[in-house]
Amino acid sequence: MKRFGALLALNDLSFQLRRSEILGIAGPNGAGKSTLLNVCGGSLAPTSGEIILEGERVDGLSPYQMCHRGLGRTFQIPQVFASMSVGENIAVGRMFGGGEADATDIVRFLIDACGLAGRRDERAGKVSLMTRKMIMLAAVLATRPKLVFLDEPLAGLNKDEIQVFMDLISRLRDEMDLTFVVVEHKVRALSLLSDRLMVIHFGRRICLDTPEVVVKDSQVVDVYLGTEFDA
Amino acid sequence: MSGQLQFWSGVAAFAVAGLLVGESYLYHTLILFFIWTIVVVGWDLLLGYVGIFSFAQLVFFAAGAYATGMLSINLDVPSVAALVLGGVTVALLGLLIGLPCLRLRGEYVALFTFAVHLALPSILIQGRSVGTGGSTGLMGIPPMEVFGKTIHTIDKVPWYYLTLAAAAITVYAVYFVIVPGRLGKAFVMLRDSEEFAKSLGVNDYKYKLIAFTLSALMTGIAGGLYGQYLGVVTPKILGNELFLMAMLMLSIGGLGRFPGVILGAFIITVGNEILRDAGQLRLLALGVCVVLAILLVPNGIIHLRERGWGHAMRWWKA
Repeated sequence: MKRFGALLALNDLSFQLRRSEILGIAGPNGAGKSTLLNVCGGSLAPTSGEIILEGERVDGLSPYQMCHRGLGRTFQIPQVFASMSVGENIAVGRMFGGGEADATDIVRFLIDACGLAGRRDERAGKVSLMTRKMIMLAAVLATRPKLVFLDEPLAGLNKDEIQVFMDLISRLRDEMDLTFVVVEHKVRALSLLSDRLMVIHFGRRICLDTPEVVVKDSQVVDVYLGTEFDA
Repeated sequence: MSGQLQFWSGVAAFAVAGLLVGESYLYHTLILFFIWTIVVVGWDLLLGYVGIFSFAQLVFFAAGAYATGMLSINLDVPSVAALVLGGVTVALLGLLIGLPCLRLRGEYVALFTFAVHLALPSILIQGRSVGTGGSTGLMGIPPMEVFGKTIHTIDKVPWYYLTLAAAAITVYAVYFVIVPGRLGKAFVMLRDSEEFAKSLGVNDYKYKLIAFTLSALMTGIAGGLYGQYLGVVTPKILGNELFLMAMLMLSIGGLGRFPGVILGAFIITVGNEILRDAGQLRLLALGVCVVLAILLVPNGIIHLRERGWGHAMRWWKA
């Protein structure tokens, strides 16, 4: 639960994640999606309740500690270190992320996987939106997280870019054995990407199931999707 | 020319110049330049690399001069030990001032640290009982003694090489050890995007406190040298003139890139001496320079090369 004064931003919201799944989270504006992400990323401490990662409580830790416990996150407004090169942006993720030293070169792998090989030496402040998102994702993954929260990763991308990004997430999930939680407004794309979908409204969970079931749920249609399913 | 090469040729040029200058007044100007170099480099570390708007840098400078002077005058600590202990005291002060800044956002850090700057002269004036000397300050700070030799204010050549060495060590440590290393990476990450840096595992409190402490240490030692060189320090060290000068060095030189602020320090210390005859008008001229620098070279001359220069040339031809 997260309370801001009289406002209950998250109310008895609880859910469990399965290893290596992609969980989509959707909901109307003001539903509490961002608050949920900030609580899970350590930017906000929950007023009550627990976050348990592999049997250990991690709620209330600060963001850098969350990172060291294996919780990664990206931001709605893509963040990069503008004065560093693209390659450095990803290298510092490994440097400070506290992940174990790896035999395979994780930085090189991520640069290739995220399509950044040709841009390694470019200044990160001067690249396109899609590239910024790729840099941010690769840097987070370089910290070797177990679980990654993505905050509206598809916002502002065109149709082709959305496809590229979704394929990449699925591929990285398989190859790096990652669990993803994706907060997103683009429900059609989200339901294609996710194994399960959760819809929240006024800080409460109103539905959590496979995408096929969720998009037909009468309450979900009522509060969020409208009578005709259209992302 | 690579940074290292620039650095070593600069140090070599000044070392040779020290043999040729021969005029006391010119030595004095360059000694002040070396001391100010340490101050602006410490400031650049905090403001240019970590992005912390600290305006307490002259507090560290004054505290260094006072701590060193008070240790030798009141407690008879030998001069070199007093300089080192003074620096350590100021480093602790930096840690103390850094602590509340951890909870503050950018512009509030500026307000808080500037408030400390404004409060310090009154504290120094009221502090006669603890040995600050009140409004007349500390007179007769014992001169530096190295290897049993006393270096007085009039011994310009030894002071020249001493301060050159101190400045060179500081510049090297900051731009060629700290900045390219792990610390520097964390600093730049916090500057470019604090939220993202934290989410990638950077312990923001730790690195900000390290930055405050290191910056205060250097600036404190610069202040200690300043006091020992001149033999006198008064609360006027926190006056508008030195503050404006330091601001100008940063804004003309350019932050976050070697040798930006050092060029700024050179231009301003030399320029200030040229304007010496202008008397009261000098402060006004300095103020006008700050405004012009911000308007004409918003990122300092060090960044002219990449952007402003081409722009200026096109403008010239058109």
